[in-house]
Amino acid sequence: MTIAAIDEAVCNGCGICVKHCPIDVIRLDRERKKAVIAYREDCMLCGQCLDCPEDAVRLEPGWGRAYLLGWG
Amino acid sequence: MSSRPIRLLDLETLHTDVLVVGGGYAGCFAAVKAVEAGADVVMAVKGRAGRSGLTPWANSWFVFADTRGVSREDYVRQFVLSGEYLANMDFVDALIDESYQRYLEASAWGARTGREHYYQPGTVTRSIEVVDVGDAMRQKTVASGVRLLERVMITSLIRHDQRVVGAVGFHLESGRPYAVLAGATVLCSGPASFKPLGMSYACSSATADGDAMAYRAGAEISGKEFNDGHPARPANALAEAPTFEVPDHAAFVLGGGPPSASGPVAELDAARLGMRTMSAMGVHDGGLPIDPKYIFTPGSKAGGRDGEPPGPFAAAPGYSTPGMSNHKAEGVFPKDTYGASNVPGLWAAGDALSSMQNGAGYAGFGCSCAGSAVQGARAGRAAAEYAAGAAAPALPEGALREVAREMLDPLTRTRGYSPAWVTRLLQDTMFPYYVMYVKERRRMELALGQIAYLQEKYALELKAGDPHGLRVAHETRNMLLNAEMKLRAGLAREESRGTHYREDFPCRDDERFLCWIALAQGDGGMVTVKHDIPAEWRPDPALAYREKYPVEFPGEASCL
Repeated sequence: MTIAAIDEAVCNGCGICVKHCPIDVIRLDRERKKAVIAYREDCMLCGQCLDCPEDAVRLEPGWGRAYLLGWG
Repeated sequence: MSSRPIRLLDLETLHTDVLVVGGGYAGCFAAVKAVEAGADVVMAVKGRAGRSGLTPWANSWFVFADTRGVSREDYVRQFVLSGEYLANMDFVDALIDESYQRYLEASAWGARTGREHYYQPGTVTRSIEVVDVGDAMRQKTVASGVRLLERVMITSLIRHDQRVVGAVGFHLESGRPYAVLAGATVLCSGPASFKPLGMSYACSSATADGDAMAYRAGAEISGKEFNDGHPARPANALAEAPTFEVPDHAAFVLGGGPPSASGPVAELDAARLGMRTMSAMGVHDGGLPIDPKYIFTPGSKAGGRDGEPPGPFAAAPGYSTPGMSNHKAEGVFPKDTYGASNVPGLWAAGDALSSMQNGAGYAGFGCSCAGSAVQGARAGRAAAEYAAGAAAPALPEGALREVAREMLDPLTRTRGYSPAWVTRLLQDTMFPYYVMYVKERRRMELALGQIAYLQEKYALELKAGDPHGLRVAHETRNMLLNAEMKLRAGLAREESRGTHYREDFPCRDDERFLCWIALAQGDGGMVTVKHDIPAEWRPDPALAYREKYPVEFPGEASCL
């Protein structure tokens, strides 16, 4: 249960997913201008990477942005 | 990913008045208020300000305003009851007095606000929904002129001449080491967890970093024996038994949360008490590997907040955030109501501060977020004031480099242990419900023996291949220290109270444990220190036990 893929054909290299990941799972390949999943094993499935403006990020089936009730 | 070697020569040193570690509610308010008080401020965040720790999922804010006639005394009494007399009433007063003003500020900064929830008897809930606060707070922080170091993990405080004079850290991607020399340092680094990755709440970036570095710098840490009460997801990998019968009379003791009776506060009684997370967050639909006798529900009346339907949650209170204490319980033990630690130059706020605002159990929606904002603002102002009167920190260049060198050690080892593997061993030791949620002396001692071995054998021999691995190595070391703290505090509190349940001591023991238990460095290792609850906050000894403690623990009849 982790982030599954970033569609390179769609990724525009903006880096929002990199900035929004609290766990440092995603890195930006600056030469290719593509986001890549670098440390998949640490993903906590919070789904903040789904803020992607190009909808390039896929989580494993059945998961979406963390469907937790907020902290109060 | 990294190919360039990390060199100590690259150490970049920044000078500032106030260093804020962490960028959530507490951190952003601390930074903004310190700037307003005239300080130059640097904020270091392990992720992105407003986007890491627990902040991205914060959604409610306690206010004491427009209470529809409910008195302040009613609220105060509920904090006392749900906190089971361990609430620090000075911090409760600060929350009640200042949370609405902080709310107005967050709102003015651009946080979106939503529905208002009014007082529910049995909790202190009077909250307003707030969303996207993180991004709004970040924008305000940047606009205030705070220098942001994002994706920089702070690993160690620098102590010199008996005071904390800043910290060292490194950039997660480049590995570049940083030293921030500061007149005052405010830890706003959030709570602790043992990384329940993917199966529970998204709290895995909270790894007790602040508690660990404060402890190593000589600060007292307290509130570790309590537990957060958020419920687990149905897909929690630790959940197995799909259903079980829930009695309608016993008290729930796992996790936390105040009683949420359906009647007025004055009518609280055991038969009508509930677990707040049960009644306010959802109903059981997933099951847990927890003995049913420890589970409580208020009959079949579970429902959503203000009568909303329950959400899609397994009512597995407290099992979604293993390693985390009750909000506002764990962290640096304060010596005043501004969050000053016992070490000069060091403050803490929010979930990095053991303010005990909520005592031994959670008080109600919004108390955590609002409490972090209130405490952050107070600590930020106090730190700015201190820094203005303190000598600029000066220490030998060599001393700074030595702290930075230690930080980078895991990168330099040719042989060492995998942090992920050690973390797994830690999780295997601490995750079972019978260690932290249903406690007993022998089981905790066994766990402590295992944790002690992991610390002695592996914690100082962790190997990192790149800066990301360096982060994970430091987190692992911090989580191990947190595990030791939780076990030692759990062993020391030989009673049950709030979210701390001892199977072998199932009753409250007012004679011995109307105190906060702090952990500190002793000559031979970690020691516990008791701080007595002030007399005016203790229950009236003339009250009957059940009047003082409406919630009944399993097995309690045996010691009453």
